[in-house]
Amino acid sequence: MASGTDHPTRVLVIGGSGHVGAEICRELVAGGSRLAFTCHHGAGRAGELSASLSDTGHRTHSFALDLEDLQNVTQVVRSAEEVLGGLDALVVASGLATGQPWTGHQPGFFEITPTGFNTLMAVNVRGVFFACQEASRIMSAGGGGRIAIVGSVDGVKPVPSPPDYACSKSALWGLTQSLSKELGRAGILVNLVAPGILSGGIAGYLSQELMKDYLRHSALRRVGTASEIARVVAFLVSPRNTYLTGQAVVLDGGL
Amino acid sequence: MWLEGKRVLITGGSRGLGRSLCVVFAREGASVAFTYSTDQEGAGETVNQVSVHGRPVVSARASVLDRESMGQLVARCEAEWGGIDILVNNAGVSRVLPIALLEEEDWDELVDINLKGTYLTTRLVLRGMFRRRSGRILNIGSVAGIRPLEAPVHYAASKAGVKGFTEALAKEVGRYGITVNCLAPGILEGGVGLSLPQYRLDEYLKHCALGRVGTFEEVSEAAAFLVSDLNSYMNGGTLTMDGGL
Repeated sequence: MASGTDHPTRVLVIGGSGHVGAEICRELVAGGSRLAFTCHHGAGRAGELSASLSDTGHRTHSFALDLEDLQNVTQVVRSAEEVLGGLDALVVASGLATGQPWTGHQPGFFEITPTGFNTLMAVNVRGVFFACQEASRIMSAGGGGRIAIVGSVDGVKPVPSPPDYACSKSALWGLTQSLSKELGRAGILVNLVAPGILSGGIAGYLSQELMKDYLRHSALRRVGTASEIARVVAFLVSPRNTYLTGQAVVLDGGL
Repeated sequence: MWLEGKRVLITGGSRGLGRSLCVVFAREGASVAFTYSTDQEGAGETVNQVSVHGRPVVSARASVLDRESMGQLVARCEAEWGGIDILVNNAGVSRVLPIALLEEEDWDELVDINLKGTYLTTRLVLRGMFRRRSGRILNIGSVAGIRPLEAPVHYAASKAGVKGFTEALAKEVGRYGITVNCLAPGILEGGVGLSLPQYRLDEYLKHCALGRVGTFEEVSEAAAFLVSDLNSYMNGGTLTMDGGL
C-alpha cells in the first residue's frame, strides 16, 4: 500500500529479503521506486519477495550478496547501478544477530569467540562500509543521493544487549555521522534508523523476562512492526527529505 | 497527503517557521488552527496562504502564557472540529544577549515563552487527547539546546528544557497512544540566526555538511512526516535539522 511519500527513483536495498528489508522493499515499490535488492540465503527468499512484488506490477532485480566478500559487494552495487540505470538511494537493512554458530539463543559475552566476533563485524560493519563507499561513488557522480542504514537501539542507547551486536550497531552510528559530514557537499544525505524490538524477526529469541521489561519501559507499551520502520526509511531516502542528515531516528516507542 | 483529515494546532503561526508549518500542513490535508501574539497582519497573511489549499483555518490572538485565551481556542477546536489530533509547540523567541548583559527579567521573559508556554499549551490540549487516547505532539526545539554551540544562554537553556520536557512527557503519555517528539532546527533562511555577525555565520556554514542554511519549508516537510500516522513508533525522540553540523 503506497504511503504517500515521494519515493526515490532507483534504490538498492541490501538485505532486502530479510524481515525489515522486505517491508522496506514493499514500501518503496508501492511508492513507485525502481528497486534492486540483495539476499544472502539463497534464491528461495529472493524469489518469493520478487514474486510478491511483481504481483503489484513492479519488476525488481535481486542479487545474491555475501557481505564478507568485498569483491562481491562492489560487483553487486555496480550491477544494481547497471540494471536500474543509476542509483538515487542505498538502504542497508542487513545484519547478523551473532557471528557464532546459531544454537537458538543469543550467546553470552563469555561465549563470544574472536572468529565469531570477526564474522559479525565483517558482515554488519565492514561489508556495509564498502557498500556505502561504492554506492557513494555512483551517487556523487550522479549529483547526489541518500543513504539510510538500519541499525538498532542497541547501538545508540544503553540497553541490555549482546556486546558484539551492540558494538557492530554502534559502529554503524559512527559511520552514519562521519559519512554525513564527508558526503554532504556531494549532496548525499546519510541517516540511521535505530529500531527497538519488533514483532517477528529476532524478537522471537528474546527471553520472556527481557520482553516484559521492554514492554514495561517502552512508553507505547508494545513492540514495533517492520512496516513502521519501513515507512520512516522511505521518508529518509525520499526526495522530500532535503535537510535531515547525520541523524539517528530511534524507533522504540519511547524506551 | 500525509495529514488528510487531521486537526492541527500550531502555536506562533504568524510568520517564519510557524507560517510555513501552517501552509505545509494544510497542503498535506490538515485543518489548521494557529495562534499569534501581536502580528495581526502576519496572521492574516498566514490565513491567506493556508486558504489556498482549501482547508479550514482558524487564527487566534493568544499568547502561549495566557491560559484563558489559549483555553478558549482549544475549547473552540474541540467544539467545532471535534478535537485536536496534532499539537505543534512552535511559538518561541530569541534574543542575542551575552550573559553579562542578561538581566533576570530578560531570562524570565524568554524562558517563560519558550518553555513554560510549551508546558501550558500542552497541558490544555492533552485533555482531549487523553479522552480520545490518541495524539501527536511535536515540540520545536533548536540545535542550540542539543549541542554545545555559541548561543544566548537563556535561549539554549529554554530549548534544552524543551528536549527534556519532550522526553519525560513521552514516557508519561505514551500509554494513552500519544507520541511526543522534538524537532530541533539549526540556522534557517529568514530565521533569527541570520542576525548573527557574518563571521559566525561563515563558521557555521564551514561546519555544516550540506554547506547551507535550511529553509522553513524543509523543516515543515519533516515536521509533517513526524506528526503523521506514517511515523507511529518514534516517541520521545529528538531530531536535529542542521544540514549535518
